[in-house]
Amino acid sequence: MSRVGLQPIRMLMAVALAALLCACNAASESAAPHRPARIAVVISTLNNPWFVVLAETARDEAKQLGYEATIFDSQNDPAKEAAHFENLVASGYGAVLLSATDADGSVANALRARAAHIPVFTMDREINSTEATVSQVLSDNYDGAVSLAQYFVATLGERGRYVELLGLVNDNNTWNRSKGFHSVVDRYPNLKMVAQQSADFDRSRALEVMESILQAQPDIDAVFCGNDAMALGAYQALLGAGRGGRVKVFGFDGSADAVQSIAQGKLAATAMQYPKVMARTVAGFADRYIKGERRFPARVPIAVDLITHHNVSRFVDRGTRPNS
Amino acid sequence: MARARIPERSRWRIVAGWLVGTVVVLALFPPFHIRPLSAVGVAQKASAGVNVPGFAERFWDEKLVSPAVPGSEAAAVVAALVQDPALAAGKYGRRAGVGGKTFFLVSGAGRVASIDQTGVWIDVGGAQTPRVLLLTGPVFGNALRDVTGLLNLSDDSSADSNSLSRQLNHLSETRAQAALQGARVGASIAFRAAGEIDDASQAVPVLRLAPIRVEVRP
Repeated sequence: MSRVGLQPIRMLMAVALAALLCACNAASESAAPHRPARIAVVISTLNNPWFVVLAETARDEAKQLGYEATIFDSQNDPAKEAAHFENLVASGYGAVLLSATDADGSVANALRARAAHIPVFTMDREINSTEATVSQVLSDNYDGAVSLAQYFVATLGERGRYVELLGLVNDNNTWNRSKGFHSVVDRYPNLKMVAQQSADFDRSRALEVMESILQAQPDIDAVFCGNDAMALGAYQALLGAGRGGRVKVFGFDGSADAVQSIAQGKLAATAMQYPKVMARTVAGFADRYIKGERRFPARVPIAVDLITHHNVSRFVDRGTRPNS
Repeated sequence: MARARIPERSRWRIVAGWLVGTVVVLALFPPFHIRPLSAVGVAQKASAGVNVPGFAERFWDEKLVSPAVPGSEAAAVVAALVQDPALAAGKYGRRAGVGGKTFFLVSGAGRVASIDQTGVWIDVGGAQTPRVLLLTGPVFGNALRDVTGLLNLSDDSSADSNSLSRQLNHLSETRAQAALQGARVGASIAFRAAGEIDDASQAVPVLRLAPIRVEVRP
């Protein structure tokens, strides 16, 4: 058979094969059930119970809205977070609800998702780009720290020596809390900060750091901590040094342990953030985005409430506003 | 069957030719492109270079002090707060985010009822107890920044927004509080000021106000 004679047969076979493939594809599409869009909840850490509430509420709310939702734990490691983003971009997720590990470092991850047309909504932890995210739903940490600091000043009678334990130094929440606190406390010259050190928002690290600070500065009146986990670690260190109850310890977050400790007189105060409100808000935003809405506020501040022994009984359900 | 042996030099020429050809083809038709993320339509916003003190002064002069931005009548706000704080907040106040504090921009006139280390208490009429306090000490919080609702802060970094609050509070302390230094009990006073009520607090509401403009007449 000549080469010219084979050409039409090959073409016919190719067309028949293509038609067969199309038919198979169409059949499989019609046979497969409709898969809902998937939402990724990328959380900075699941080591802290506060973030567990944030992550699980976001996941549950997304499921409630009809999506498949998966939690990715970054373990406070920007490299792990980057790997999660590579994964979820490749897997074609419909939206990302992000609690970032690093205000600057996480921007590239959010931009990668954005470039793949996957919207990113941050919750609790701000990233330094409004272009990379659709919306950032954040606690008003500065205002919460201002309220806490005013109570701190009143409790200490405008004089005393104190220690500050900072959170992760590359996280905006750390500095918004610290700056809000100092915007008040620094106005009172008889309040002296004798040590300021980072304990990475971590309870055991705070215990170690506080033990070390107490070696050099045993005579203190108060400790201001950037979160409740550190406050509880600091309290443990003070207890070990025989100073428990005599040194006022202030936290931030409103975790269940901290609220309980305020009721028991172990901690002086904390600032209640509302992880459930933040998580539900971003999940709702993601749902509206997937359904076509495109106008969202770049940042939504969520109020933070001061909890002291005067009002602690009202804050029973962690993460939900008492009046809501 | 014996194959014709290619000379060593020619073999290297063939390999080099293939390599050059591959490089030329890849250069002309690259299998992938490396582009900065900013080039795909998204760019990180730089927040540096915002002149917060200058912006605060302009906002103070053009908006906070300006009668074109109306404040609520202090006596009406106080009366409403005493009756039902939630209703008063809805009618006269403004919130900046989800939950939390309600901000009030008020104007009014009255008599100085008392003076203490926190500030000057004003009797604006109607309420039995003076519930308006014009602060004479440090001013904290976001009332001056958020009370008008004229600032769209959502595109700024939280650090810039917080810095703006600090600057406006500083202007209240340096520009407006000076006029309160001459206040005496019984003096007439006219004022414009901003303050906040915390809805989580169940205490009897007191309007603690950061002064914006104050006139005292003996």
